[in-house]
Amino acid sequence: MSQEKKSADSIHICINGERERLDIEPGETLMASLRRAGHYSVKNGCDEGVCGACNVILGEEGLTRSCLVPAASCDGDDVMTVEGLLDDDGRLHPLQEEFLERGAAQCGYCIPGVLLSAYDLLQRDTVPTEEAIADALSGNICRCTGYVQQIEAIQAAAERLPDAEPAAEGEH
Amino acid sequence: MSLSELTEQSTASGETNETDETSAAVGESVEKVDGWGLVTGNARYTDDIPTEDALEGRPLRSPHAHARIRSVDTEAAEAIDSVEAVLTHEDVPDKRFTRTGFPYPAPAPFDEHVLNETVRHVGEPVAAVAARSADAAERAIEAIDVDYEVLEHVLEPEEAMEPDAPTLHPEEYENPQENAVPERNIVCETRHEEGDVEAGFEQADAVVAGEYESQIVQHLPMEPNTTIAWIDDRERLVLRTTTQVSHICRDKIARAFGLNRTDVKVIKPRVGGGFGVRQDTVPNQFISAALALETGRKVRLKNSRKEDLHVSQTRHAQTVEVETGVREDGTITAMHVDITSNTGAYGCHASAVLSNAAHEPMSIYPTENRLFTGRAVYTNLTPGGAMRGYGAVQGTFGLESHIDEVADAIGMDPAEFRRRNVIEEGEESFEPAHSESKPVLESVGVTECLDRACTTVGWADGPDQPDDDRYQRGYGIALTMAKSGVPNSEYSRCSITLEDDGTLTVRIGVGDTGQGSETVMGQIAASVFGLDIESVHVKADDTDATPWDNGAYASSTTYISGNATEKAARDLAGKVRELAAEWHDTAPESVELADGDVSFPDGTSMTLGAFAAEAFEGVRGPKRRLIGTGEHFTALSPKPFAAQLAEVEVDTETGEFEVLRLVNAVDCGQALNPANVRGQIVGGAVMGLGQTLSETLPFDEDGQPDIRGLRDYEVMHAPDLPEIETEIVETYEPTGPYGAKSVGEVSILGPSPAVANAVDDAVGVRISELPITAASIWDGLQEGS
Ligand code: FES
Ligand code: FES
Repeated sequence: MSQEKKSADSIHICINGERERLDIEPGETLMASLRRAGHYSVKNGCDEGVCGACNVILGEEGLTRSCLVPAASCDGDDVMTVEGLLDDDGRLHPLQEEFLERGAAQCGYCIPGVLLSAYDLLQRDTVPTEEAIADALSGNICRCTGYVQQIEAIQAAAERLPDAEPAAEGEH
Repeated sequence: MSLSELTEQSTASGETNETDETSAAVGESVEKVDGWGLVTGNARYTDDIPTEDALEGRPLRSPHAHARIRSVDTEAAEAIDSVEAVLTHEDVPDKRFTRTGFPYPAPAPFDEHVLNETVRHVGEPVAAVAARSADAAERAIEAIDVDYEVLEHVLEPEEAMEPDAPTLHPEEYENPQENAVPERNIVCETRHEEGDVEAGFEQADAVVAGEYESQIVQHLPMEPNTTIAWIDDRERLVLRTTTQVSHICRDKIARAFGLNRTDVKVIKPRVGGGFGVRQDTVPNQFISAALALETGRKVRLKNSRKEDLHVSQTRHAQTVEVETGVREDGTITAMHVDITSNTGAYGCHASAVLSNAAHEPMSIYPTENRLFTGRAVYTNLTPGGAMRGYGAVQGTFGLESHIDEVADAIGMDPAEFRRRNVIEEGEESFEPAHSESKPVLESVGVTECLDRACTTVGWADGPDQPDDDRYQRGYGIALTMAKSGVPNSEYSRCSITLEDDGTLTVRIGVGDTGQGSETVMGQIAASVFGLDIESVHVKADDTDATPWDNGAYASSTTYISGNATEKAARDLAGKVRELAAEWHDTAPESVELADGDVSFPDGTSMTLGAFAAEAFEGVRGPKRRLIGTGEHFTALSPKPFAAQLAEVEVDTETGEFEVLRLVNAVDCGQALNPANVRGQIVGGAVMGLGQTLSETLPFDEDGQPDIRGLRDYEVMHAPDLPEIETEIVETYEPTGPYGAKSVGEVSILGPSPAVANAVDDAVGVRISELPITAASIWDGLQEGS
């Protein structure tokens, strides 16, 4: 099976719920083949696994730096990019709304990766503390914002999401 | 927007341009005009377009810090199937230029070619290829055979100025700078004295001297430098590229290749950060252009992250020496700042960065007798460039560290000492001797910034000390000043069209790389008419479509481009009034424009949309599509100020330390978009903390950059943040658009000296070299005990 995968020159993946065939070149990373197929929201900030700009949510692996994953190993996987945050009617996710509202996106280059780190956190922790949010962003480099407004936006989005616990009295 | 939303909306109101809650008023934190694309992943950066048809460009980079190229054998490379071009220094124009992003002629020596016969730093491009695949391009690079005559290299300015040092630029060049001595590698040497410093020192009760060193750091915008270049269907050269100065880039490229300005077009799509590195026209852009011109094909040239870290212009390493004469009562009688700046292989920002390094921080303390001396020196390192703060990071680290030492020498509280000497409204900034700028400052909120920061932390009481006295806390403060554009150099022009539904198209060539310039221009234009931000479209991304603007440059955009935009909007408003008055047979001055309405003295009014529609339908006379224009050029450069206050905790047994808190009180005039202003302040402060605590681009003795990639370049991450507070201390700048000054650079200047001063306050150790490390504090503790 894995032998077969290695020699494949195309893979099938499910991107944000849509099945798609990706052509892949020998040795290519998932980041490179996604981008070549027009999924430009997956950003190449370093190609060495350090900046988090290429983050995707990859099947059972969860949050993954797509520049570290060989495309050939992803056959049959589910992949979520930042486009997957929009709801079926194309409306923004609370995370996206809060980022806009709070000036948390400057150049935007880190943003898809940051939003996916935040989304991944909120899947695990619906009432994250400031520290938990900062930790969740520890694998993302944002050179513009200094992170502060991003952390605030994530906290605000968490409070708006349905399964967030009502904030304790006096916390606001 | 979606079709269904639009359908619903137009059925409900019959109009398409009315949105209710949004407001554009300056002073409101409206969402960025490009915000939707940024948060949905739809924003398109340079490389986010299909490029299957593009050739892959690759440079061959020098492994040597200094070498003459005897010969280059490209035959084997050219023979590789699918290689379309191989260029060497023999194939590029002979005329030299400077990459620096000032408009021609620029305060910089013309000391480089697209590809040079002598390479002067490791990583400098020696040759370039374009091939039909990345793999072929890489094989071609490897197949190029270069015969180097390796020359002696020099990395330190002091050594480079010695008589026996190798000369980096022995051939005479055009546009030498003040007192240049190229044979001694001196790009420029400057001396600017006001009053009589000698006499001033004689009047002092104490003379305090110190020396402060800063390191080389990188801008590291998250999008690496990238260009896609092609020849369009009118045989024009087009560059889609990561620039923050599209018009200057067009000008540089056209001049370098001898093309008409109209035969070059630069597209600046969304750009992933800039911070100054994209103010220059970089080798990536010149080489892409050369390869496209050579092949007639589309060429893509994308720097790897590692290449960008190694070869992008850096912040200059500087040695700043300060000597201050002071009286017991806290009066400064004289100040002398001397700076040696390492400009690396090319002199692109050598003299301007040097000048700024002293003039900005020295302006904060107007003293009768002051002297600045300095020199910028060539060495075989990656060239220094324009990085946020532009020399003032280094100068402020020196001067603001030193001010604490001076206060200490006379036993005065450092905040009090600053308060006594700091610049006030109506006083003059210390401007470069050759500058034609008008130095009188009309809005100066620095004292209030100082007071606010001190009040916020309870300065007088000092920090709460931990129970365990192994850990000591301290406060440190620094004052900073920046500018709002280069006086008598910046020029911006704006054109605004009133569309026939009452919306505005604003055309202005600002270089938004994330700061929100397009949003602010939109807010200014909309505010003149009382429109909401959604009724304005700002077109800024294409040199064909916008008049000249210097781009993102010396914190100029809000002030210079903002003034041009306000003037264009007022020009357009005047034309609306005139036409409306003609229709109603009244005086133009009696027509009011507010809240998106045109109102007449008889109490009637119409929406701007209805007015524009009638004007273009030509119901009441000839058809009109009104356009307003405005331009701005000025001898003024109002100064934003800040007080930045750090609290640190030091472990006295190890020297380990932590910055616990950073308070930033900033005077940027009126904040046109408070959320974005805060973003600039925090972003700058955190970048400044990176320079203070961890960032450094080291080189080994051969001039090789000593990092493998991003994993070795330590920037601030979210968990590293101290508690960061921002306070906007609003003043009103009478010459600014809606009272605004700039805010992009002022907060990067203070963290280094504030932290150094806080360390000294905590444990009595003066750190005068960046970055500040536990080891250096430990050494200081050992010396002290
Ligand atoms: S591009 Fe993958 S981590 Fe930076
Ligand atoms: S917004 Fe520019 S890198 Fe994060």
